[in-house]
Amino acid sequence: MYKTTMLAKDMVAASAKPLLLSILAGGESYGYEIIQKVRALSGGQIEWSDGMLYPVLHRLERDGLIDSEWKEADTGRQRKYYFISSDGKKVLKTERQQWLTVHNTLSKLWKIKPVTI
Amino acid sequence: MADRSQHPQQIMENQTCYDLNAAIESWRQELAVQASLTAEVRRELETHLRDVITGFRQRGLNDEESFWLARRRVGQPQQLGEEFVKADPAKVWRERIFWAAIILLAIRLWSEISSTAWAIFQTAVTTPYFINNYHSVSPFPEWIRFYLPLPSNIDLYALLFSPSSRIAFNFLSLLPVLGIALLLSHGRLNKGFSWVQFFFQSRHRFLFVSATLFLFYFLLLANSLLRYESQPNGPSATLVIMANLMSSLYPAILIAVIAWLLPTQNRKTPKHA
Repeated sequence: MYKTTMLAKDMVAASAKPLLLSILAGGESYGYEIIQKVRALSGGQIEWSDGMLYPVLHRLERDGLIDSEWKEADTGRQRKYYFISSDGKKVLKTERQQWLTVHNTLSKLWKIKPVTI
Repeated sequence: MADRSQHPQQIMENQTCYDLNAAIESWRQELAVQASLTAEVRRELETHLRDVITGFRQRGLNDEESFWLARRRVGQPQQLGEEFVKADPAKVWRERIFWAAIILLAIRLWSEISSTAWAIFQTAVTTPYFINNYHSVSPFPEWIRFYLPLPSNIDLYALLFSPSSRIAFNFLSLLPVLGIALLLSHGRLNKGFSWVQFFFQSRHRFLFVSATLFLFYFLLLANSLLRYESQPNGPSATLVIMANLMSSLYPAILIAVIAWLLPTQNRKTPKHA
């Protein structure tokens, strides 16, 4: 259950930034919810360890790509919510282009239909 | 597995056979040992742990099972600490320098206060002592001097205010600061010192308080310097003023370092698009 090796470790590390920015571009979220979302979207193939997520979130926050705020959740518990900043949106745009470039190059080699960037 | 859940409807904060809150508390204490995890990070990790526990409980596990699975999933406290160090290796050093600057400033402040108090005490005591053209009169009656473990020809006052006792006093006056630092590092005194946090809650507040104290200090200094009359062979008034300004530069630098490294929290307001 802990750190499934579905996706190689370096792939998980490399894809963390675009995944986090894309999730937060869709609306504010918090650590636990983000992990659940990634698990669901990847069909259980990307399993983030909880201990790895927070350092990444904090690094993105330090770089000014995301912001955070403590807010009271429905349960009455205080939670730290993260949301994307305007700088984060710009970075996501370039990240998206780069990932799609890799995707399209591989698609041509694997004879899969490429997507428009 | 669902039948093993003892009280599915019960909310988490309630007491059951297994004391979940005590388990979380001990987990928190394990986290607190990790130097790289700030109080805010620990709080965030705790809400995460509670979320994971709630998730397991909703799937029908009992408190104990939920806690241990959640604990496993969130990670060993030591492992978490290492992950955070990897993410920001400079952070540990920033915190060390921050605390070193605070301790140096506290020592500086305390020695300033204690030496002033000592000087006041000294003047108050010795002024009546050197009556009649510096002709010293022993302040102690003969019967007290008899019991003192000193040769009768040694003046206790001279000993008390000699340069070597001054050095001893300087050393001894630092002991309370070291004692408080030691107690704080062992997690004692936390309650007594929570009011100190007020000054460190925001950079602006810290700078404002420091600037006010500095201004007060300078007013006192200006007051004493205005009355300063240079002796024929002594240093000039300008030199004394310069020396005092230079010596106040050191705490000013410390304050600047502290303000710069002050951990900022919750400073951002949401900027929703």
